[in-house]
Amino acid sequence: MPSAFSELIAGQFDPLYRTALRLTGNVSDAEDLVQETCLRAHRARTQLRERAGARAWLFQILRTTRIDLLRKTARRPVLLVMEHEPEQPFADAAPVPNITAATDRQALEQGFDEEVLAAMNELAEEERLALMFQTFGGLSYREISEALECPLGTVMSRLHRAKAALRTRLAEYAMREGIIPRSHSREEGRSNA
Amino acid sequence: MRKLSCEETVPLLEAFQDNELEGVASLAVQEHVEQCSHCAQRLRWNTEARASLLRLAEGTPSASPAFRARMLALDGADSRTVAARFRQQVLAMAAGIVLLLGIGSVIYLRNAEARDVMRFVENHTATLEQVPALDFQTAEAAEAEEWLRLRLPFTPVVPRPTGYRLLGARLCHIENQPVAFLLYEHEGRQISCFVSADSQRRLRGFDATAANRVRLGTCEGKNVAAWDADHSGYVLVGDVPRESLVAFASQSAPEIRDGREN
Repeated sequence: MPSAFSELIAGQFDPLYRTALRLTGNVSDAEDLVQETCLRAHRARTQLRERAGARAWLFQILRTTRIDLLRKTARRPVLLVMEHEPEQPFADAAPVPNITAATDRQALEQGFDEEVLAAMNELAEEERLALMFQTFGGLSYREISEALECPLGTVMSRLHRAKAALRTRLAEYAMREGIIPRSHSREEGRSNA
Repeated sequence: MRKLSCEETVPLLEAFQDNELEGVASLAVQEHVEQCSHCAQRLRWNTEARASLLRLAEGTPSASPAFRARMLALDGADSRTVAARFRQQVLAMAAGIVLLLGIGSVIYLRNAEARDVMRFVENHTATLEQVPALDFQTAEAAEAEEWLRLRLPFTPVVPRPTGYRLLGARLCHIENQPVAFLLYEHEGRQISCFVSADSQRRLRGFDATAANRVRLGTCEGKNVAAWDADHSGYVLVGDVPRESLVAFASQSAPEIRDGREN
């Protein structure tokens, strides 16, 4: 008969593993990260008060475990959050291509996926974590805020910056490859108020 | 419901797409996007990028079944790890206790060894503090021998070293054995000479041996010398240099002077 802890892990195992795989970039490191996360979670299982917060709790452990492993291996520098991180830096200067003008949908999608992955790996660590927790872990903003131990507004600004960086890269790719004509690549924002 | 400007809408587009906006805010964004072609285009572009992220998530492989099974069985496995660690800790503690006992035993034995010599030193110090320190005062070795012979089950030979003046004798017991105590004076300092029926070889705590087989040591700041002669064990204690004790011993018996085995 499976224990409550096994059930908890079973429910979150795929999101946890996929996030770890994308964070580390290879199966071996991902398995190390997930295994250490699960071990730590098991040891600290009595700290989990409510099952509803289990996912955020597990991802918080994943994050701290990853930091510890990075410190040990020092393969990738740990980027720290700025002390006074602005919560609402929403000025989005990224180009906004007119997607309806795309000449080759298939080329657009295939190229986009590769570009997105590359762009994701160039993000600052905390932005990358926020985006990966959302994309591969399926965490809500609230859960990301708990997992990253930061305010909800900070999560929103991190996600915004991360996605803006992705969109910039995608726009450059689309225009460079001629999938979207340059004449359709810029849309100026204006106020409707 | 208040209408939103583009500047207000753009920051909310991602939360709107992620269904993270509360009802009123979501409706306001929806209304703005329906009326603003620029923000609608931005939303379509954001949707395209978001779709790319979703495809990436769907295309990310799962863990191998073996790894997954191993992690899901972690509850028991970790318990075993904990048990193994507990056993290791118990073993480490046991090893530590054995090591401590070993160290303690060595320290105890060293102290125990030193205690034999220390008892002579303690007796020397206690005697000098007593008034009178001696039961029989005499400067004559023969008188002292006679006095001791009548009171001891063995006949001690009282040393007669030149330059060491006999002050007298008394009886004492060390480790329940009767011992003759002789007090000498040398260059203004007092030297105790203990004579027992047992060999001094059982005593421990010496760190050197002089050429004439006199064993030398130091205890409680006093120099100690011991040797066997005339079927007795001799122990000297005094606040004097070791050389003075060796000189005393060398004159106490021919075999000591010659360095021969007793």
